[in-house]
Amino acid sequence: MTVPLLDVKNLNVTFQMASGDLPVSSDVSFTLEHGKVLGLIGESGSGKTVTSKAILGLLPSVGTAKSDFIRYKGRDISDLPPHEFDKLRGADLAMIFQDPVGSFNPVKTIGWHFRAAGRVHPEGHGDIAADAAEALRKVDIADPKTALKKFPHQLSGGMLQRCLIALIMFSRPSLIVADEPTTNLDNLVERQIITLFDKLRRDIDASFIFITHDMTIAEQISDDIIVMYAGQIVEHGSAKALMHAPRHPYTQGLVKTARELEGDVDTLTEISGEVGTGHWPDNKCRFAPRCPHYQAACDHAVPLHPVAGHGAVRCVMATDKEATR
Amino acid sequence: MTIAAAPKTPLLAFEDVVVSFTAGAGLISQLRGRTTQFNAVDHVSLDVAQGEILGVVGESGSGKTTICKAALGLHQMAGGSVTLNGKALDLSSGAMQMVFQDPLSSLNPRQTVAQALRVPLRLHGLAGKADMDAAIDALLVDVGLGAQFRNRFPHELSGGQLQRAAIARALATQPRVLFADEAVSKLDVSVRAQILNLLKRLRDTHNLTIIFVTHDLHVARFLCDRIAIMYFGKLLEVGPTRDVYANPRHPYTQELLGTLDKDRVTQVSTRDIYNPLTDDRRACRYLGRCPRAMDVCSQVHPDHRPTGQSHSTACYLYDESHT
Repeated sequence: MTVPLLDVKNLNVTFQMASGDLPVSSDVSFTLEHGKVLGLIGESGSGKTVTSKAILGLLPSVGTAKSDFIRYKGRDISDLPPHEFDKLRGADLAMIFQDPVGSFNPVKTIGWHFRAAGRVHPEGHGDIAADAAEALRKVDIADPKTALKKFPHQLSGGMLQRCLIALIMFSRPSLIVADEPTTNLDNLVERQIITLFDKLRRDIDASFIFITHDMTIAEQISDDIIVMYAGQIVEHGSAKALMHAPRHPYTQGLVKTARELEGDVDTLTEISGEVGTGHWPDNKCRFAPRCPHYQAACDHAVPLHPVAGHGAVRCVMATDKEATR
Repeated sequence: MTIAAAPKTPLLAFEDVVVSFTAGAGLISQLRGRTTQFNAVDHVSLDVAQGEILGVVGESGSGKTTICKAALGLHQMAGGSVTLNGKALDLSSGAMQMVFQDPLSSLNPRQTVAQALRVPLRLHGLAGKADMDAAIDALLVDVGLGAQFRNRFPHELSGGQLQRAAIARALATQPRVLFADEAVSKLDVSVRAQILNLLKRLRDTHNLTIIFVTHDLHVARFLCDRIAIMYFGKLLEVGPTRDVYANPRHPYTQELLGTLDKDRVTQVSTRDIYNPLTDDRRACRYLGRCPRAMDVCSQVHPDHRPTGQSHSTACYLYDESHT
């Protein structure tokens, strides 16, 4: 059996707040194979960003991550000391955030960022300038020599996001976490970036964790999708299964709205209420207050239940169906 | 300038509106004499009918927000006019209101929901001491919040509840026109449908006219009766939503709506994107990216031409001689 690129088991993240400990994500487990894209879907506060930051060792100081293990290429990185993590990040693990401006040093040129990356991770680079130009050409930047001399503020948001992708291509990481990388961009640029990600994945054989709240984009780019709600995974399956036959009522609502917006309807189907924040109960279904299929069984703890041919679903209805089959 | 006619008598009319910004307005640029004027909204004419939801769609920098703010008096117009029912606007009348993208920053953090609603009701003389509470409750019910939210502060509300409160405040002055600037783009996906349905219902129950600014093409198609496509300050195309989506006329609209086709690989070139500071302002704004550019396109930006029932397009491809 081959070792998966990333294997996460029972990851729990807690924030230490003045008002006490606040669990922000609980019992997150998944594996990611080489060259695959995992879509991570959820609304703000669902724990999707926090989960990825915990994996990359980037939690803010108030956050604590506990897990059985987080194995990267078979090696447990859950308790890696900071200086060891620094060697991994950038070379092996890379991140793309929503706001490309914040990812660059505003007083340094684009070229400086490539040189810095080449200096920290010199492996595999002959001529840094040539490699940087080559990476920029791959993201359709027509005149890389000029672009390398520019400062971040001189480039548009789309250009800058492409430079960031080029910088990542240049470092050739194995795992890339992209957190809402197209949310701030216009449709045309968004489309272009999605196309580039696909190219990047094939070019350097990278795996992706792609965080988004957009079902349509998740469907286009992902092999597998995890849907998170209130800090828990509520559904996990192949993108195809999840988008065509969602099993959790929350996923069903999201897919339905996405489909309705693509089609032609007068009124959108609403998921009533809102997720809210704060302390979610551990001993009952967290989606129950909004669920159209609420029943007495939902007032007990609902585990993430494996569903044959689909993946896993945290819903009493999914377990019932499996049991009666 | 040909006016893109709305199907009914216009309630709101933009005529040849120009909003001008100065680039390099900082002290150093001024001392060096390096300031440049450019038109963020460049001679736009557009009619909006009573009870209509008009979608204004465009990329950032297209002028879609600026034209709304100009109508509300939040930007000075360098030219043209905006009229409501044929009359010059009385900005203090409360006949036009705006809902913003981020509801948290558009509500006063130290005011309860009821306080936020009381001010416009009192200032516009719409409710006295006796009927104030009833008026506030009616507004809250209207937006689906209910009277129990009266004494909540903004930080006690979720994103969707905040946006409902912001909409209630906008409705307090009984406006004829509501401008909604990306009003759902910061909301969670599961809440977005609620607010979109609410806006549609308010149009139906109040005969409210809504100008909905968005860059989300799916949302625009769901909500809007007509779509106006803007690009670097110019209105490129305006027409009924179904018509525009089924048969986009302008090459830019065609490129933009092409992104909705999931199976199509979009090779977008941003190489020759229009630069408002350095490029020729007489030429068509879309010239550098247009796959169908002709000689005439580099000479003067085209006027609007009729391209269907209440549909017009600013493109030489639809010249009278060609159609």
